[in-house]
Amino acid sequence: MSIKEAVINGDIDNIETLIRNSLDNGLKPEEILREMISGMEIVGEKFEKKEYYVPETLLSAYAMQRGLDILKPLLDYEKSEATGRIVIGSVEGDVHDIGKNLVAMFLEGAGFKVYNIGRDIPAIDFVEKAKEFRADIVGLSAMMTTTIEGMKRVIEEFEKHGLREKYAFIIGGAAATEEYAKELGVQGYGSDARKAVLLCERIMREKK
Amino acid sequence: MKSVERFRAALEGDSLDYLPVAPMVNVPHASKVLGVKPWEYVTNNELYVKGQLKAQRKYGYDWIFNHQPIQGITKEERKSLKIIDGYAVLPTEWGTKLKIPLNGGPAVREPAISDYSQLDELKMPDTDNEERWEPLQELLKITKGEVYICSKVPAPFHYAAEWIRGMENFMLDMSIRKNEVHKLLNFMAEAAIEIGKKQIDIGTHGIMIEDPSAASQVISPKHYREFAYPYEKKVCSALRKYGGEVIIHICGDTSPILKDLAKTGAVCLSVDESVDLNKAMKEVGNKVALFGNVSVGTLHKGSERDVEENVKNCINKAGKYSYIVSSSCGLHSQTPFKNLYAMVNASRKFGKA
Repeated sequence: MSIKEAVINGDIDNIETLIRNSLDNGLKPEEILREMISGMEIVGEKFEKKEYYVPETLLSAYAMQRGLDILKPLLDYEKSEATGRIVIGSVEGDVHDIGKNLVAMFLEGAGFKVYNIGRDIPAIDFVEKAKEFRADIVGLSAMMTTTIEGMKRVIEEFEKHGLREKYAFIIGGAAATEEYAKELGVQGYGSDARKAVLLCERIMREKK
Repeated sequence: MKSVERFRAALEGDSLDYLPVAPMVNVPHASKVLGVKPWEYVTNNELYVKGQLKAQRKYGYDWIFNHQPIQGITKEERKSLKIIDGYAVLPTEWGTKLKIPLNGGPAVREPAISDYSQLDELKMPDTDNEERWEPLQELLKITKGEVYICSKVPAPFHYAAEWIRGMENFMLDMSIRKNEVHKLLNFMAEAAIEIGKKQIDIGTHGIMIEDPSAASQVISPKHYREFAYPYEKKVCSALRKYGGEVIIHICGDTSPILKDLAKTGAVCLSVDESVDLNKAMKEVGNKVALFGNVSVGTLHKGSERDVEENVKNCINKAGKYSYIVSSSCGLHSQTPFKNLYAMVNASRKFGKA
């Protein structure tokens, strides 16, 4: 089995051994990372085509994460140039974070530096973490119709601090919609993890 | 017809005066109607009952959704309630800690177990504790059996995932720890049956199973059939044998699993707005009644006219039997009162037999 296949199949038991063996055989960490990313791209496509659902995608993302844990020190990951920097979290009251975690892992796979600040995050924390992390993009997630309004409070908090224009904002999660993104006046909405990556890449291109 | 008769007739496909209307008024909206904070409503049995009654009387819809998954709050639980920075943390019988924010419904702050070795320590809910049943008893007493009261039991799949194990772990476990997952689901089904039986003993008219984590955007139809369906079926059959009527609600587009849902033994399926009501009626309408489908988005943001149009469309698609007009899901906290009035009025106008 290739590393790419291990990611696609979510083989969390074997991916570490596969990677270590490949490294021993002289494969460069950058090449292994590329293989994993192309595996994740296929996972994203399968999710879009409804061949994969949350459990399958999650398993692949975990496999990818295990691989990244081995590769990060070898890649000099922290110093390498990022595609962009993003702070991502589920808004206050919302404890659902699988989708948001998947987005975070997909973004990381695509070369973004991601600061996943967790779930049920108060508005003010988004502001502070975005400043601290020197983010380009702030990602907000809400799964429930009862918590979606928390997104508005986050945007208002950024306005209050005069930082609304400093960052790009993206929203996602089952309760979010394209219309709501327009209503909030934010840069975009991603209906799944792969679209979120495409959206962030577009935002970074436009920024440059 | 009394509300309870109207609701029952729709469930049974009998003739009606009007289609029943039954919006899913839960924590955010009921507490708003009552003018109290969501956590006060959730943790005070008296306010909970008042909120539900006030909303039902205000709008004149045909049911009361007795939606608390753990039913009444005991004095013991109220004592252990912690108020932190404007929100409340409530430990529950299973060990799950709930957080109830200033705005919005309760959410799980900490699931009950971090390891399946703790599974044996999980106890069946104590159904002998009378405080649990105070809200249901009060609701029945005050409405004199005239309004259809539908009480929630915890859906095995959703509550195993969200309350007991934690969603992300549970979703992984489905692939790598199947045996433990089934053991937990079995336990949850037994618990739901115990709770449901008690509710039937007390006199609830209907039982609601809300299983949002089993939605078809989350798990595949294959996983649904392996992990959610057998336990929904187990609960439905047991409660049906006991004389209960079960309604199942799953959020999102349930079209791929609609035929399975119709085989669970539920008498009625609550469908989200992404389900085509006309197609659903054709597919399963001979087995079950349908419920829901009026967009919570329109109820939240649309005009009264939009709401009226939406209700009219739903009725046109569903027909005037075996359908209960309801919101597609739980209402947004900021749903304007006028739109709920519009929903009830439109149901009476277009749902007249």
